Amino acid sequence: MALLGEPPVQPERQDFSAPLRYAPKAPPQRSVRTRRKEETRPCQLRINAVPNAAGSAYLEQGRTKILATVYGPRQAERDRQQARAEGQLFVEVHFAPFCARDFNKEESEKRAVLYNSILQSTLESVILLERYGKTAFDVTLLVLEDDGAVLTGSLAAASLALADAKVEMRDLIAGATVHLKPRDASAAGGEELLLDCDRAEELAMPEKSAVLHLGLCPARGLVCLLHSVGPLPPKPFEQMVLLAKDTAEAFGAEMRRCLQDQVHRRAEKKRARSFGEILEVDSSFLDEDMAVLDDGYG
Amino acid sequence: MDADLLQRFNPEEFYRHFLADGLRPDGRSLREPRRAELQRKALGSALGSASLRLGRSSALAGVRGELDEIGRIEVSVDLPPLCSALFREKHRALGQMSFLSKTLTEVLNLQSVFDATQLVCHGEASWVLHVHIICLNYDGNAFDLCLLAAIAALEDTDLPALMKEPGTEAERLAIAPAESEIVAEARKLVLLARPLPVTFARMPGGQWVQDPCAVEESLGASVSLCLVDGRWLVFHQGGGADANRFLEELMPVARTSTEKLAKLLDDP
Repeated sequence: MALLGEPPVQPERQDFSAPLRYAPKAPPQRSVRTRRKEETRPCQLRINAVPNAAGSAYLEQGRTKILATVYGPRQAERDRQQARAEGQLFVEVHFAPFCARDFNKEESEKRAVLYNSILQSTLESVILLERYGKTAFDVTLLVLEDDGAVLTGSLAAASLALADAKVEMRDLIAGATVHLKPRDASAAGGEELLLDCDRAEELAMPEKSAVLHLGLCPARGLVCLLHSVGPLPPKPFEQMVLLAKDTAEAFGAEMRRCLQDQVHRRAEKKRARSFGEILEVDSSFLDEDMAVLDDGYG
Repeated sequence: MDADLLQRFNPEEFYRHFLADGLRPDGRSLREPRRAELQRKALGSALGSASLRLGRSSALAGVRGELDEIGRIEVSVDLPPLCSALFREKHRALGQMSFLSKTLTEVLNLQSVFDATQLVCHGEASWVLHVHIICLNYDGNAFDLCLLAAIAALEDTDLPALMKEPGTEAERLAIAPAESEIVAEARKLVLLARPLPVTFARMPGGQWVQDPCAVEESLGASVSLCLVDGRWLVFHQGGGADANRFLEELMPVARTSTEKLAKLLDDP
């Protein structure tokens, strides 16, 4: 079954010319939710994961791993008619070939196109692009492992990377994904709201389930992204939005803390460097060590 | 002139000041590699994976398996735009990407390195292992970085057990869940010998430095040596320097540093 909100899965192409075909497929993972319904997976944020970039962030949510980098502002290219009074933003999402056991190149390219447009318009709404005339930013996201909640994770990682690159923004963006599982015919009770499902859970969703992605600007308390797929009756919709909003607020506080820690670390590093110069110690050692500490893939 | 400005606009002159004292701007001596850090099992979604850091350079390698008639290893190296501002335009990375992919595929498929018969699983089917290496932060010496990451990921690889897929007319194999009829056992991948790489770059004064960073690579040609089963393979990158004349001088250095690399890969 296709993931909710993703482009439809292409039926597997049968190659009849070759009678013997081997298709190693991963066995269907059993989805066992050990968490409570309204509990997220453990999340880790790191800033400055790619020292080469102007700003970068690494997000790990459960087993989902996303790396976001920002290069720029650079001069917009005139021949491509990029130069405008307002700054330009180029968002690109890539899925690593090893991001999932059942990785499919075509499908992930389609997902990337969809995510690019959603992320681009959402990020454009928070960046003060009018202050960056005639320039462009390249925001690149790399999904190293896909285990659900990639869209909202990418959004948070991208906004952290932008903040790390000191790009002027109205606010950060924190996100949350909520699934709605319809009433089971056999079991009693109403619909189920499931927060932050992993990939196995997403794939095991029955028909007529719905998904809601919410992006929230935590400081202003404004919603900047609302994307949903599937039949959504008004009452559960309201509950889903509230649940997603609460989660995103908590997530936003964590992002803020992460940025503050980074500022403190930078200040300390600067202090250590000036101290090092007094003692005539080569301060590049300190740089190197800090880079290793800050760095965080895997 | 300000040191930062000099470094930016005349890196050759900047380096000459350091090299005269037998030092490099990052504090290393000429024949000193950067600190390497290796982490295995970096990903849950690949058959095997590893992440490696050489100073500020870092890469992530993941192994995916497919079935085909001829078992082999295929390496693809990606230097995406996010790893360095140098590669914003894709075509600037293409040459290096295809050189690395091709060379690493050749090296890892050498008979003395890898025994392809261990990939045979059932009848005519064999595993084809796709080793995808993505550079996450580029700071020179992609050859050593990618080769070591590929080796660590392959040594981490577990081939899953296979079963005949039920309900299909043509014979198909699928990864077997527990308690099913297995036609090919799960097993660990083994390398016969590790190809161990050492890279040198030639500086403007004619000196050779080991494990060059991105700036050092841009200053001159580099040569990669690769020790496979007691023999040396030599790869030239970026022409200009006649490295063969210097090989005698470089090889003893390379030999001692391959011992260190072996230790890095042996560490659990």
